[in-house]
Amino acid sequence: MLHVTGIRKRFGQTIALDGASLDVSPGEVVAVVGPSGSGKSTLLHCAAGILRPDGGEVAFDGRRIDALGEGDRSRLRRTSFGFVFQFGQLVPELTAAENIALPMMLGGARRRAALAEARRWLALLDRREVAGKRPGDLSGGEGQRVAVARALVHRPRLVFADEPTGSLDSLSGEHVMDILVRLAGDDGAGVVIVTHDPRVAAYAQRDVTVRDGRVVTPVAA
Amino acid sequence: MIGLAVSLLVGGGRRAAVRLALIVGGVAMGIVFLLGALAIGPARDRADARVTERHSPAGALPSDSRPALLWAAFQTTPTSVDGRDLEVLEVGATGPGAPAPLGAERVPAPGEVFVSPALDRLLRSDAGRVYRLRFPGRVDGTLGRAVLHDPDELVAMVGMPSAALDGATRITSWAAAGRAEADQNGGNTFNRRLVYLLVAVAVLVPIAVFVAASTRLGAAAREQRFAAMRLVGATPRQVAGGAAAEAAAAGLAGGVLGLVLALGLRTRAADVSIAGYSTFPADLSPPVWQVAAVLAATPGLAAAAALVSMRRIAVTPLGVRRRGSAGRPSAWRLIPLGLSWAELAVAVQLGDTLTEDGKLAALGVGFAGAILGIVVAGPWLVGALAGAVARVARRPGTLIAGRRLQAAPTTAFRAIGGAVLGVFAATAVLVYLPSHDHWSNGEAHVPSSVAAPVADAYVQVFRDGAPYARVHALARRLARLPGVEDVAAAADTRQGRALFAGCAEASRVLRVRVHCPARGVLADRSLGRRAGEPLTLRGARTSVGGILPTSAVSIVVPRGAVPAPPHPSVFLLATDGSLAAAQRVRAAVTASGLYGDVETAADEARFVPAPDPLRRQAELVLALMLSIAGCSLVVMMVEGVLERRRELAILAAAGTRPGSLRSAAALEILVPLGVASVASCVVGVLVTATLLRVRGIGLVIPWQALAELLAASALVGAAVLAIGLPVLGRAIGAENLRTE
Amino acid sequence: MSVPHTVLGLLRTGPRHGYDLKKAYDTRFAHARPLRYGQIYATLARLQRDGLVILDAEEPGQGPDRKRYVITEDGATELERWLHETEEPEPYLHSTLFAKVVLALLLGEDARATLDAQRARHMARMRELTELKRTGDTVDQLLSDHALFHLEADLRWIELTAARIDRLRTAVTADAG
Ligand SMILES: Nc1ncnc2c1ncn2[C@@H]1O[C@H](COP(=O)(O)OP(=O)(O)OP(=O)(O)O)[C@@H](O)[C@H]1O
Ligand SMILES: [Mg+2]
Repeated sequence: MLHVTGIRKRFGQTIALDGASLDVSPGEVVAVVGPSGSGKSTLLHCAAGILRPDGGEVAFDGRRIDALGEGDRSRLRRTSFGFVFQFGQLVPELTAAENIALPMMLGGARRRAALAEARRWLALLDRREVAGKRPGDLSGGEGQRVAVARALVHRPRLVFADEPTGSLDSLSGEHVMDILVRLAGDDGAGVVIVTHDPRVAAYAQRDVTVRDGRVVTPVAA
Repeated sequence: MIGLAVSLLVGGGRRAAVRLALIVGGVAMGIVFLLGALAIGPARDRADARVTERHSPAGALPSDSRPALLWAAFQTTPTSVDGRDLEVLEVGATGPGAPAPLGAERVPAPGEVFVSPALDRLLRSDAGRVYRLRFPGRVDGTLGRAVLHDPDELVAMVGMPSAALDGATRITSWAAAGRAEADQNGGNTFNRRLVYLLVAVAVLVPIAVFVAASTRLGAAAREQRFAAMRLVGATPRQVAGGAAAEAAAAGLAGGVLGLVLALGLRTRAADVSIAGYSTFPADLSPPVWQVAAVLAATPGLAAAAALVSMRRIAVTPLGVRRRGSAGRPSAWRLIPLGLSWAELAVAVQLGDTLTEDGKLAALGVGFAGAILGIVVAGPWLVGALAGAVARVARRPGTLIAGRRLQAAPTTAFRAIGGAVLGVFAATAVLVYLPSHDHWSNGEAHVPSSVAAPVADAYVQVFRDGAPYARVHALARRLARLPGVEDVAAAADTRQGRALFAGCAEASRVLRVRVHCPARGVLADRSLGRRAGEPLTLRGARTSVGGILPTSAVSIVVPRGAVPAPPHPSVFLLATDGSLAAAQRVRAAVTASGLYGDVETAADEARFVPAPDPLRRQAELVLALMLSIAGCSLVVMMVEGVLERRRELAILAAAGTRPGSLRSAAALEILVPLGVASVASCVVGVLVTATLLRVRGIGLVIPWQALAELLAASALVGAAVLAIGLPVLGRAIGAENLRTE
Repeated sequence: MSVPHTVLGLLRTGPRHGYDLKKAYDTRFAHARPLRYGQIYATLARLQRDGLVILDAEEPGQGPDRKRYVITEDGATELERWLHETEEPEPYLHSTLFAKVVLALLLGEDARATLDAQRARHMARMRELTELKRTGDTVDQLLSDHALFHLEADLRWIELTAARIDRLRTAVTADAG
């Protein structure tokens, strides 16, 4: 579904990616691990069409997305991808439910329908009571769960998560990973998780290691 | 330790530097304006006093037989040059030892002309060469400030033989010069004081808002530094003290900078025209104690403001917490506005039982109260509005904007407060002035532009006891002047409208084909006669046909009804239309020794109606206020975007259209700005209507001016967006996804 | 930790006396717990019996201390197999893994590949345990967690070692010289 082949990216003098490749099939959960500064986030951003690589190919469903214009990539991200970041992704002034409804509204859904769907997701997360709260009044774990719901609510084909549990304790982190993998699996969405945490990586079906801007070929275990 | 404290307090970083620069700049701007406001009143008073002195100097007692200066103002045609008024003073000396005239070093000899610098420049310019015809004498000196109202005034002082100056004021000494007080009629002073009052409040408030907005720049980073200071052991008192000291230093720097700027600007005062006049730099000197007081108060006020804002946050070693997270502003906030309106209503009831000063005080209090009321009620309005917007929002951008405004209505209003107050003050002025004009012009107000001259030149002479022969001589002279093609003589009736004989004559001079009946003359339509109607005016002895714009030439009166006037007092001229011809006509009238008034189409075409000074002043102030308010808005918007750039970048990464983010940012500014502007415009009309009632003046609402005002406010919003949105564009770049 | 394989590995760098072997082993691998002499000779005898080492032909024996041992073809193959085989992920494996890494470095082999392979094996085990945890009952979850935390510690060590592999190589080869 997603084929990243030999992409390169540099920022000024820094070579962040030097021929990295990554494949993700539908329903597959892939962890991207590697030392700090190795280029994991950059790989994720390129794969998701947030950044445009300097070289190499990124294809989604057979379509070169690195060649698309900003507007098309933006639409692709909006409709086909979901994102979870370490923190700060919720709009602080919107309620939890409105935050979850946001991607659907961006996709043109009616506000009422979007909010109803958002509440359904909160029920799925067993967090109905936070619907009217603002992110500032949520715990970190609750906030991340809301973020996961927001990433999945518009039924994306691929979910990208960059250190989704980075600021959580292990139990909250597990909850978040559990719902991310479970709910994405229910929808048959592919998931790419960038993480430092082997226990998070263990939620994936396979993991790839990035080192010095390259994906190290995994040795068959 | 102290070094660490200082560096933590002031902190590095570009935003901190920008912030300090903006604060200092804002304070400096406020100081410049305040000093200007303090100076402009006395400066105008001085200028007016000089004009009064020039027009009616104190004459010597008849018993005083010392050699005297003969001084005649208005003895010759006060008329226009290059579309501006020219004033000619005729002076002479009864003998050696007569005092020098004001503004000159000696008495000009007969035939000598002294001119004001502006007139001098005009006469020397290519375009002004034709006006030299008016001054046959030698231009031989320059007039100084003592006789001029402002540097741009056109004044000529013409030396005359003393014999020609009978009836002029005899002056043996200018010692009594100080006696002249500005000839101010009460209403005008009242107007002026009221407008200055409004202006002072209206300008200082947005400047204060701007300074306050600037302190928000980089506030988060700064508060973190405060927390770091607490962590290394500073007491809350030390942190607050440090912040106050920093503010005081910025205030002092701003004050000094402002003073320097004001002094610098003062030297340029002659080049800048404020409210229709430029000013002599020397006139612009507010009392020293006022300057000192302003400079001394600034750092203190800045420090106090810093302490007040520090009270709103609790700085702990672990971070900064806002005290009492501002609850929704409630409708109680409308009370002060209501109170101030009630106060004005009471003043209306008391009406004329109040003295003028009492009225002024009541109005001042009411106005200040209204401004305070707007400031207090504004956040409520923004909050209520934001709630409504968020409730009905269908698009994500609208929803985000509404919720953001709802979360911080006070901050949002602070951003637009300057502009909103500007609109309020401007509304007050825009409504007050036309109402006042309308009232003072009486009900039958006629726009001043009606009487366009119909001939190329129109000369009216006042014989004033001079022999008729002089009038006839002038007529012959006029007919022979180069450039003058035809002259028709007429008599003056009432209200300066000319009636003259001869249909054929009229069509010649006016160069229009007039339908001329066999036995008819033309009558002025303003006389209200119909064709063929006998015309009887003042005993049927004086009036004949009349002239107004050709479309008005429609009335035919039987010739026999009104005989031609025996002695004309009005001449209508057909000329080649040149400025030179016009000036020759003027010179001829001046030379005839008759007091006369000359209007020419050439001059009329160049004539720029002098703008109403108060109005101009108000417009200037409004423009200033709106730009300051725009600066505040830009600062707030940029800060708001930078503060949450990660959030915005994440939204953009998740595929949010940049357009949605832009529309959220734009709505966040435009919705409150628009609604609050309209609201404060309405409040302004209401308050001013009350104010007018107090003075017993009827309300005239200048719809168009108000619409322009609101458009200007919208324009400011648009300009702010034009500057702020590119910042947003950069803030949503992927590099902002990285954690800091 | 497999002493026989370690000994084989040391012999792979060249023929050695039993005494040398003990010294080499002690400096690199034993740290707190040196090998007893008996243990080294017993190990060598077993290796000799299995045909993995032989006595050096050129220096005929003059008492046990003077015997020099040489690794055989079979021995080299066995060593190779062992080096590239990953360890069953279980707690406290690091000393074995450590030995493998050091030996790999000594032999100029790709120690990083060893670590990567081990990492992959660990990850696979962690995935199983995570799956068990997600589907099993509370007891399963707790047991899985216990194992997961230990494996995680190993994994972190593996990653750290991979990150410091160049420093380790320098240290190891300096000792050898
Ligand atoms: N916008 C940027 N400007 C400059 N350098 C950048 C930028 N983004 C990434 N880099 C550099 O590229 C390299 C890879 O960065 P990246 O964020 O992808 O690493 P990472 O593997 O995600 O690290 P971490 O685990 O710490 O998040 C780093 O050296 C980083 O400094
Ligand atoms: Mg990263």
